Amino acid sequence: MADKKKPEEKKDSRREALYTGVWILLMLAVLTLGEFIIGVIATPWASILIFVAAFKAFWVIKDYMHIGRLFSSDEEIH
Amino acid sequence: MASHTVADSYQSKLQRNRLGLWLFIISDSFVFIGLFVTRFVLLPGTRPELSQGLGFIITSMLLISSFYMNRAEIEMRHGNRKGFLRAILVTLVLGTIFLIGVVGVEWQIAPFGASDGAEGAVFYVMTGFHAFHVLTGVIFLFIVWNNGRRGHYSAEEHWAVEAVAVYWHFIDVVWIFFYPALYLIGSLA
Repeated sequence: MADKKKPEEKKDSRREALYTGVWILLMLAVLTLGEFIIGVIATPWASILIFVAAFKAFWVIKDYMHIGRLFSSDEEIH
Repeated sequence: MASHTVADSYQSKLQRNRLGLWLFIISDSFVFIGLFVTRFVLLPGTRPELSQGLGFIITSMLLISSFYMNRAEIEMRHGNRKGFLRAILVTLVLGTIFLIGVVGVEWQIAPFGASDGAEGAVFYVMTGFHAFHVLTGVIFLFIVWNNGRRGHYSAEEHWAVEAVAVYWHFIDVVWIFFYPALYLIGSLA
């Protein structure tokens, strides 16, 4: 549980979680821009666009929705 | 000893709540999967004539809102109530902008109506059903923000914050698939 951790450890885990969030946002931004460019200039690339969407969804489910918490009783999974 | 039992009981309740929420999300996603497949069956090779710029902007708003929702959860998990309230408020505002962008703008400027064939049916049902989820998410966010303001959550016990975060990210995941399906895939009819 969060209150059992030392203040430095808490600070580190918070920083790590925030960094992960920023990286996911940057990746989503770059991929969405890529999708937009593909969609505007090369419309037949449907399978690539669906693959990119699935890739983006995977990271959101893993790191924002924390699906791992469902399979663990550990409260500190970020 | 007694507090240990209470903590254990909260932990097991939390795990049950998580399972219940994910079961709801999986069952809800079947409806979205059905709509996604319907779009490609009814409009094979074509796409509705929509504003590309607006689609990109509202998609960006929703993705950024997911980042802030994640941030709100992290702040609450680490006991930073101020940071939590700020981040959840930004999420709420971005979600509202997305809703206005879809229902208030895109629906008004679309060159077809809901009854104008497959194109209209696909577009309005997909965006309408998703927008309804966004609306419920915004209401849920407001409730959690208000409860957080009144000090109802702590770093140890904040299930409602986790629940609204998972629900909000689910809305984001659905749009991640709906955006290319509606705006990018296929040529203009």
